[in-house]
Amino acid sequence: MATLTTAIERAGIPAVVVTALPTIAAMAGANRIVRGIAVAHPTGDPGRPPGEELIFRRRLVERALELLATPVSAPTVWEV
Amino acid sequence: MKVVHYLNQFFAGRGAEGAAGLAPERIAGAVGPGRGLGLDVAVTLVCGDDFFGEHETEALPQLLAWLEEEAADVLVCGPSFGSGRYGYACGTLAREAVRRGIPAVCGMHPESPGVPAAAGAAYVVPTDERVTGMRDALPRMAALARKLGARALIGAPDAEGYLPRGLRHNVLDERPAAVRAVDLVLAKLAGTVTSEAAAPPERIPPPPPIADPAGVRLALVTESGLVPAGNPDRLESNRARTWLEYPLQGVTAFAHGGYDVRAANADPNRLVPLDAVRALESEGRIGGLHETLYTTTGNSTPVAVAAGFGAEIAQRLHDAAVQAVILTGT
Repeated sequence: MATLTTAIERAGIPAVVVTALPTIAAMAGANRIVRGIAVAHPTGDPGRPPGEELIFRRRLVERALELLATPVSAPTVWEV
Repeated sequence: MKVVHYLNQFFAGRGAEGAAGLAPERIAGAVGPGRGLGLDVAVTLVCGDDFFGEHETEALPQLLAWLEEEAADVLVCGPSFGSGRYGYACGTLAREAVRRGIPAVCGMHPESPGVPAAAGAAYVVPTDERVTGMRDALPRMAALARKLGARALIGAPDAEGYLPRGLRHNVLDERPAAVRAVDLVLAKLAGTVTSEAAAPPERIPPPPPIADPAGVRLALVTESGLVPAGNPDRLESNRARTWLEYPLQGVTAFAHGGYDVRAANADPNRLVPLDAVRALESEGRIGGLHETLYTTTGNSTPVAVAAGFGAEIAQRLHDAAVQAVILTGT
C-alpha cells in the first residue's frame, strides 16, 4: 500500500493511508497514516451496532482529512 | 543447542486467514516446516498474523517472555516468503530477540517488510516469494542457525547466504585502491558484482498539505481487492497482475486472498469508507468526490509491479484534477 502511496505522492497529490498496520506503511515510505481498526476491515468495526459503526467511520475519515491538511516532515501516524 | 522456532497460524496448522487473529501459543517440539529444518527444535512459538500486526504490544512481549523462559540458544523465524504480515512479525520478533542476546535468523523474500523490521539486528536468509521455495530455504536457514547457536563467527553476507545487514567489516586487501576500483568497474561491466548494498525503500518528501478539505477534490484508492460483485474482470486475490477502475456505486465484493473477507463482504464500507465520505460531501465538508474507485490487490505483489500500478493510477488522478487521496490498505 505504501508503494501505491509513494507513486501518487510523486505526482504531487497528498495521500493518507488508512491501515491497521501503520508500522509497515511507515517503514515502506507512506507519509500520512491513520490507524485503521483491523487488517480485514480497516474502516469498519463489525463489533459495533451499525449506527455507531458509521459514526466511528465518519470520525476516521475526518481524522484522515485533518491529516491531509496538516504539514508533516516525516512518516506520521494518527490514532482515530 | 536449544532451538526455538516461530511460525504463523497457517504454517502451524491452526488455520488460514480465518485464524489470523490467533493469540500467541507455545508448543513443545517442532511443527510443520520446523520438522524440515534438520534441527532439534525444542519449542515452537505461534501467533496469528493479524493478531501480531494489530496487537504487537501484547504479542511481542509474550513471545519474548517465552523465548527468555526457554533460554533459547537461537531463534529461527519462518520462512515467511513474500508474506507481508508474517514477514513483519518474523523480522520484528527476531530483531527484539537479538536485542535481548538471543541470536536469530529469519527466511523471507528480500522485498518483505520483515527485512527492514529485522533492522540489521537479525540475520535474514533470502527466499523465494512463494511457498514452493520451502525446500531450498530450510537447509540454508538451518545452516546459519547452527552457527549462530554455537556462537561461531559469521562471515560476510555472500559467503554465508544472508542479506547485507548494513554493517561494514574492514579487511586488508593487497591490491592498491586504483586496481580495486578498476576491478570493480570491470566486474560491474561483466555483471559479476555480488555484494552491492540493496537500495533502501524510496522516500518521497511529504507533499504540502491541502488547504481545506471543503475546497478539495478527493479520490478513493484501495489495495484491498474491492471489486464489483462477481469480480467481472477477474482481479487476482494475490500477486495481482493489474489494477482496475470502477464507478464508485458498483463495487461490493472482494478479491483478496490475504485476509478474512467476511466482515468486508457484509459491508464494503469497512474497506472503502464510501458512506462516510458521501455524508461529508453532502454536508460540504469535502469539495468534491472523484466518482471512480481505483483498486488492486496488495497481497504479495512485488514492489516493482506495485510501483508501476501506482504510477499509472497517479496519472489518472492527475488527469482527473484530483487534489487529495484516501488510500485504504489491508
